[in-house]
Amino acid sequence: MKLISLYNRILLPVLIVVFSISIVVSYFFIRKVLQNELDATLSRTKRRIVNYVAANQSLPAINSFNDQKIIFEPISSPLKDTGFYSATQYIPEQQKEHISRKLLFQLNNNGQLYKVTISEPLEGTSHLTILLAKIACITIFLTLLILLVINRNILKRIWQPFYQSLEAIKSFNVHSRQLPALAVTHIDEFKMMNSHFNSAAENAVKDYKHLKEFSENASHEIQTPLAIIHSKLDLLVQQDDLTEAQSELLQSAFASVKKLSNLQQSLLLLTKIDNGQYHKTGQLQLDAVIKNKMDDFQDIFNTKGITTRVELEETSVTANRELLDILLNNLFSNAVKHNFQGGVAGISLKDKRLTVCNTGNSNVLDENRLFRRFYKAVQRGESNGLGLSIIKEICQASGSTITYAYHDGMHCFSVQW
Amino acid sequence: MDTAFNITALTNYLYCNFFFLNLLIIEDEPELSQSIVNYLSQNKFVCDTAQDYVAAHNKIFTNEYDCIVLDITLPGGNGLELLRRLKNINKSEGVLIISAKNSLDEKVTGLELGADDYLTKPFHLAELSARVNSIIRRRAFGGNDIMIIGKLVINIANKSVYTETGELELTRKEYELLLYFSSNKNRVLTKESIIDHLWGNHMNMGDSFDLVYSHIKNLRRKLMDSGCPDYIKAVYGMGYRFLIS
Repeated sequence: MKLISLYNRILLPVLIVVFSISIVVSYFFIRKVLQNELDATLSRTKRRIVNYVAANQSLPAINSFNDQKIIFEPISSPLKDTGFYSATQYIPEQQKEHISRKLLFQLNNNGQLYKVTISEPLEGTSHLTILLAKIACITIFLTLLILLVINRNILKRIWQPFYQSLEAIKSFNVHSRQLPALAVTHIDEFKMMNSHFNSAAENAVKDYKHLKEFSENASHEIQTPLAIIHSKLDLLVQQDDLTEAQSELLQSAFASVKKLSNLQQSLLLLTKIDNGQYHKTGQLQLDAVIKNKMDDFQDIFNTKGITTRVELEETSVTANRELLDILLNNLFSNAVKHNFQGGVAGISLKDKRLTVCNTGNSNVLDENRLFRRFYKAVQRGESNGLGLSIIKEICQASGSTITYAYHDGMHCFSVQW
Repeated sequence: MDTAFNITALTNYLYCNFFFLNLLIIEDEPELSQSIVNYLSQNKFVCDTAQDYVAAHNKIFTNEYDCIVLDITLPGGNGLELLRRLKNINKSEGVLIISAKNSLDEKVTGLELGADDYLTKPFHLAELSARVNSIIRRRAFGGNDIMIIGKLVINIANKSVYTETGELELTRKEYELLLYFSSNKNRVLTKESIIDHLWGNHMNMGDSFDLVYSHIKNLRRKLMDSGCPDYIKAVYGMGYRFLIS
């Protein structure tokens, strides 16, 4: 939900409730005020009548052209209820029932008691209150409408720097080492946000750089002792009087050094790809490169009795030669490593899409985890679990995509340029 | 056979077997340097060492070497700078770069500056020996080199091998394997080192030992069929040795 929608969703009902209450309250309030005004008029008339009777000792003549009506009725016993009340009254001129306000009191004229009723229709006041209520309704409606329009248009414009900054952050990548270009704004909150974004990005870039330097340096530092161990083992092997047991020990030491060395090379390679050290690209004849690589691998395929099916279409791609070579090495050695004796390997190049398929013992592999570093579907001694993540990194770095599929018992890796 | 035994072959034979070859090992890590010296000294090489830029510089400019093994990262300077200076004064030494960085850019720069080869650490000493031998042969004979090993005559130029019974038909890999053995005579070559030499570093799969075995078997059979003694001996568990007296 957008902030504006949430804001509207809260604001509008609150406004509607507040306005409705104010309409109802003002309706009753205005009515009360007008009624008091009317009551005062009735009281004034009463006072005039009382004064007139006291002065003239007779009842006043009734002026019936006014809306105000005065009725004198002689009564024998004193009235119990006197005062103001409302009642409906038939107005003959309009032929309608109308609510009227009445004042009832008793009057003594020369010993004769009279019941006096002064009445005045409420018509005027009710018209006024209804009109006021209508005006209030229209005002509320217009206010809400204007608020909505403001929210929709002006707020959108006000929030523009926010969305721009978000967009900039979205495309920000620590690899590129380029700080995000945030929107220029004079709004304090956005300024604050941008400065925080900027410092976070700067820190990320700096940390990332340190981390890269660290991994690269660590890799190099590991290489020297490895080279020494390797050379010492090479010399040890040359001893003439090695026993079988010693040979076995040496052999497994060799194997581990080899594995460690491969691991270190792979990690260094990943670091270098991350660092964008393979940015040089050129136009390469992919089918020819693959054909050469196939020749290199032919012996290996033959040893494992793997039948190869190769279909190559003439294709030219823009790529880094070194990375392409590593990519093919990894794809092909995967097709051998995870194959069984006498299996099949299919290599096809079509529509700028290279697919390397192989038969294998394992079932369908988990594509989500497959390309992660150190993921091994099957624990194998000679695999360091980095082959596929190197493939993935190379693809990412060179703008191609790698996908995995399993069909007809074949594990297929496809690279689309 | 007539082309094989000419005067070039004779000088070459004498040069490679009876003269000592001078090497300069420029490597800052004493342990590694010592291993290299230890391994190479057992093949007719006389090794001199330098462990920093200044020492290396002094030795290069005062002595003559057949080949220089050069580490790129040195205390006190860069190996590539040393190489640049060496080539500026037209020294004819062959140069093999050994570097911890497996970087194509560095390799290209090194080769452009006039290095003969580039080897990434860690490496097999046998591989180093093979590369140094190849550089020296290339430098000394311009590639028109003929090697005599026991009853074998190898013509480097056209990659052919002769025995008493005539030319020996070898596949490309078998030829490379024979050449590798010839650079490491009487030394144990591990299976790993053979795999790396023949198929490159990336072939780290368990099945590749069978591959080595089948190539060795074929080469051995071909050599014996053509009247050679059984030069290739298996060393239990480790690898193979090309034994020649």
